[in-house]
Amino acid sequence: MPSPLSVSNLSVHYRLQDEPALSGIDFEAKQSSLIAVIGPNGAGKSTFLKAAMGLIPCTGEVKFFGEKLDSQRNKIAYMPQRSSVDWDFPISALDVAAMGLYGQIGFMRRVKKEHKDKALSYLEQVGMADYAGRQIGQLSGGQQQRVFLARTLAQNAELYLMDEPLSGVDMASEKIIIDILIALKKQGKTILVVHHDLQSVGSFFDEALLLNRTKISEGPIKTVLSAGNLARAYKMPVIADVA
Amino acid sequence: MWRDLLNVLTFQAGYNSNLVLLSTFVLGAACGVIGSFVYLRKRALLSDAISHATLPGVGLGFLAALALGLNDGRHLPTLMAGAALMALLGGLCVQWIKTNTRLNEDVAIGSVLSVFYGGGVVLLSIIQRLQAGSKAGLETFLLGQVSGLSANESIIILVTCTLVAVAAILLFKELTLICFDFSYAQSSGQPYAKLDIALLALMIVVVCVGLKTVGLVLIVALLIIPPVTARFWTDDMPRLVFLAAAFGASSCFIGGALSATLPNLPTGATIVLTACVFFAFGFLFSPRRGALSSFFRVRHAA
Repeated sequence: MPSPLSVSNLSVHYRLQDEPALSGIDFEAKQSSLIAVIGPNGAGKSTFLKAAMGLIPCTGEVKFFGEKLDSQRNKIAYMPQRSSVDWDFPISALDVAAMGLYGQIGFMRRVKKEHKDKALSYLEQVGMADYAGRQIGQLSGGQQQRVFLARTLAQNAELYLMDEPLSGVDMASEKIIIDILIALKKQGKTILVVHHDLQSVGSFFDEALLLNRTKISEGPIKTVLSAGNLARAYKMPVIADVA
Repeated sequence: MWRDLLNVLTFQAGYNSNLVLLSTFVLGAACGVIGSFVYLRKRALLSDAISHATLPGVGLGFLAALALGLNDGRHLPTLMAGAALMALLGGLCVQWIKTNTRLNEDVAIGSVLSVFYGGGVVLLSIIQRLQAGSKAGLETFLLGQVSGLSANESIIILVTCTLVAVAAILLFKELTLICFDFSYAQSSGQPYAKLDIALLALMIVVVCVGLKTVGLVLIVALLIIPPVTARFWTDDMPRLVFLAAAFGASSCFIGGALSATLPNLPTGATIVLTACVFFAFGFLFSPRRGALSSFFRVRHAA
């Protein structure tokens, strides 16, 4: 069976920037695994997800389940960074979760009661059903991430690409989000998570992709997190017993 | 004078005046609807650049209508088409500067706005010196004038604004999504990038339709103030759009009526000031987002 996400020679060069943000990335995601995309700030972790999703121009080849992106969209769910939206937007948690169902609802069709019920069930999964009617700006960072996660879950995908779902979250939210990621993996789904916390990465991810503008390493988490790889990625000696 | 105003406000000032006022009312509602999305997509300043960019289009439209022998040059559809074309060009210029140079969007907007507007002023002053056509009234496109509207022009405004508002309401769910989270929308593979352009097009249409009533200098206020006022009173998108339409329509109705009856009141400015009264009320008294309530909350906390 083809890999949920295989990338070959992927490069991104933002206009007007001297250096490419990413160059020559080869990567293959293992089916039903929880993969951390790690690297220092500005390493191109988010760029990697965006380029794979076709949100920014890139060169190289990206295949989803062995096919081009467009034929596989309904199998892929993308969760943007929390900071990418204005949380003062006049919308409730339930309405945000329902956005995950827009693919099913269809263009120019109205969101019906059945869709709202379904969206509520996804909010329930992330422990946010009690906040369904709240304007999203009144939620804490962790709660906002959980609402975003509910929207992503509503897409019922096979491959999930999540940009920093654990950034700015409290302990309770972190536990809920991680449990859901692990549950998704057990259902045979593949999840790529951009992650910044090297301390916790070893405890629940199986695989990792270590980036710093180029690929530093890829594979089982313990191999990737070797001192040599980290030193190369972070360009300094890292003394941490992460594995 | 007050009797006149009462007559206008209660639709007793004759067919023509009723039609003009109705078209102004619908224009305000359409601006409120489209403005809600423009404001939430954070395109308020871009809409200002686009409305100022229409001025040379009005001049070119006048010359085109003159050449085609339409109504001495004062042919509203041709003037609006010219305005729309230049508005589009202005928008494209901003986009091009933003993506192809190291300049930021605010610089792009500032320069495009002033260059197009300056070009328009020069073109209009050349037109004033021409021997042909009836130039009188072209300057009303700057600050707007309801009394200058004919019945036919009112009907054009009425129909176009209704169509624009209906289009926005049909696309309500999709427009809300692109305003809230554009990259997520794009990740779904639906043609959201095209929809973003469609929103820009709808904005250009209301701007051009509103030129003669409100004027190109102030139309941006009619796009932005009503939704911002509505935001004081609700956290819910459908309600926000409805309230913005209501505030926009009432501002246009009251401001339009005042300017039609009281001497020396320019229409655009009167409408904008009326909208501002609604805004000030919300700004002060909104229970959750108002200045007074937050003042007392801070006091209470301290």
